[in-house]
Amino acid sequence: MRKYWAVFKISWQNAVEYRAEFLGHMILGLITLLVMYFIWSAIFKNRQYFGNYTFSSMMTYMILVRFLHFVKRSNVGRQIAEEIKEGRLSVYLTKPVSYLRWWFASFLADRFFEAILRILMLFIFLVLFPKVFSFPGISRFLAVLIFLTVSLLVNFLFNLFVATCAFFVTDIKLFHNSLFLIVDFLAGGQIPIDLMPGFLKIVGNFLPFQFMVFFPVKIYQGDFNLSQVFQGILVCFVWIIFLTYILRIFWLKGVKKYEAVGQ
Amino acid sequence: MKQLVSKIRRYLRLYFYFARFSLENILIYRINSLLIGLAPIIWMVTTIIFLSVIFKGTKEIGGWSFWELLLLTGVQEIIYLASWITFLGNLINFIYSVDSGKFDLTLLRPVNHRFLVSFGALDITSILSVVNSIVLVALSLINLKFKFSFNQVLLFLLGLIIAYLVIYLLSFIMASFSLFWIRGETFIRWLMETLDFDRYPAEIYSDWFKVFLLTFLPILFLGYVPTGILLGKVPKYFIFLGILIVFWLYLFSTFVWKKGLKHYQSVSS
Repeated sequence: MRKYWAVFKISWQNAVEYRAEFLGHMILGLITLLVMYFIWSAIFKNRQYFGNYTFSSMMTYMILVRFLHFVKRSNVGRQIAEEIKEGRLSVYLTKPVSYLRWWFASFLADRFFEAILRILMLFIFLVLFPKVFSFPGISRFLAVLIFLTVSLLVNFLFNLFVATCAFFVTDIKLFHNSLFLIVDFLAGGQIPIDLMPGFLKIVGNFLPFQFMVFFPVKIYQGDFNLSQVFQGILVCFVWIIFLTYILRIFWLKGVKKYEAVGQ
Repeated sequence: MKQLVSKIRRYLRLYFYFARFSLENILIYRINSLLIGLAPIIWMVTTIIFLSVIFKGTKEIGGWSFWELLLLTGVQEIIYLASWITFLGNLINFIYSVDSGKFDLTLLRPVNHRFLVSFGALDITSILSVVNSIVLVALSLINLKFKFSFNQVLLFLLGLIIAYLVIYLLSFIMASFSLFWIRGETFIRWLMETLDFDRYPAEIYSDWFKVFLLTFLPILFLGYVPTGILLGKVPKYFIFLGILIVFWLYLFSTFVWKKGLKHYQSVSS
């Protein structure tokens, strides 16, 4: 365990070192948010409700989508796939460490640092735009933060699953970008899943991507009752078990097939 | 005059070789290239779904109907993809080459350096997606029961040329900043992100912000102005404003490029 703690600390220091890049990335995301502000202002000009959403609840949703960017990011999958493709995985396989735990420690450090920055961003929004962005109280906010640890696990497992495809097709750039555009959409990253057309709503509510955006936002907004939350958490854990299972199969088969071509 | 013609011929021939070389590269990994081109198609599908959802229960946004907004999406996507195919990838590579010091090699070549860093290769993988965008434009025009007027179409085509020049010059300026600040990729990323403002009708923005997006950061010339001209929603004099902006951006880009070249220190090599 100590060696993974060391990886965590190194990755944390790395993240702190590149804090300016993180901040730049966050500010970049504010442009999309500004566009969303204008478009939803135009839509709500002559109406009070859109589906079940008021202007304030829709903007809160959009701001939280930006906040949850760190939960749905796909960089880990891309980086691991690159290591497999270029044969750099061999370096880890010869060391007395678990490659996946190594990456998980690094992933957690990176995301925890970003989460702190994004919580600060939420705080600024809360102070500057209290009419647009609503705060549900500290207990519900903490509940969301606790749930996000599960969301991060879903994201990590899915990223790993995609990365392991690199064992079989070498270059996952083929479908990585396209796949994560779909993931973002079905997670509720552009529009809430409950506003999607019928078929997509069913698909969105079935797949695990909702746990990265839509589900935590709904907990934050208090739109789910306790039984719905527990039902969601149960489904989420079923997905985690399923993803862990197929990941294990893919990983074992992949490592057997691995030829360290790039080395 | 004769000299100019021979110079143009030389660069056209050179560009033909660049295109052929890029095509040969693509043909080595045919399937890969086709699948990479899928991302813009998926982006477009999700955008259409997004638009169809926000148009539920409302007939127009900022005075634009669903099909008018789809037309705007299609036009903007054509310009965006044309940029990717012809110069955006090259400019990003140029930024990396400044970072790594490989830009020295470009400076040693007996060709116009600006031409080389901008148009040195073609990214043909996005060509299929352009067809997709053209189909979207055609579908929108059919649903809008658009009646062609020669003048309008002519101004629209002129608007498209201006759009291409504006995005090229803006991207080139942003890329040239890397000659001063080395890691200039962020500037291009910022520019690409601001293109989101052009995906919706400018009528939804406040007046001062609209002026800002038409003058200081003239990205509304990419999709909004040509589409607005075609639909008769934007005054025709915007085309002349566009020509002025292209002229000003050209002067500014030349200034930044020349200053940047003097500033370049080839640190890494």
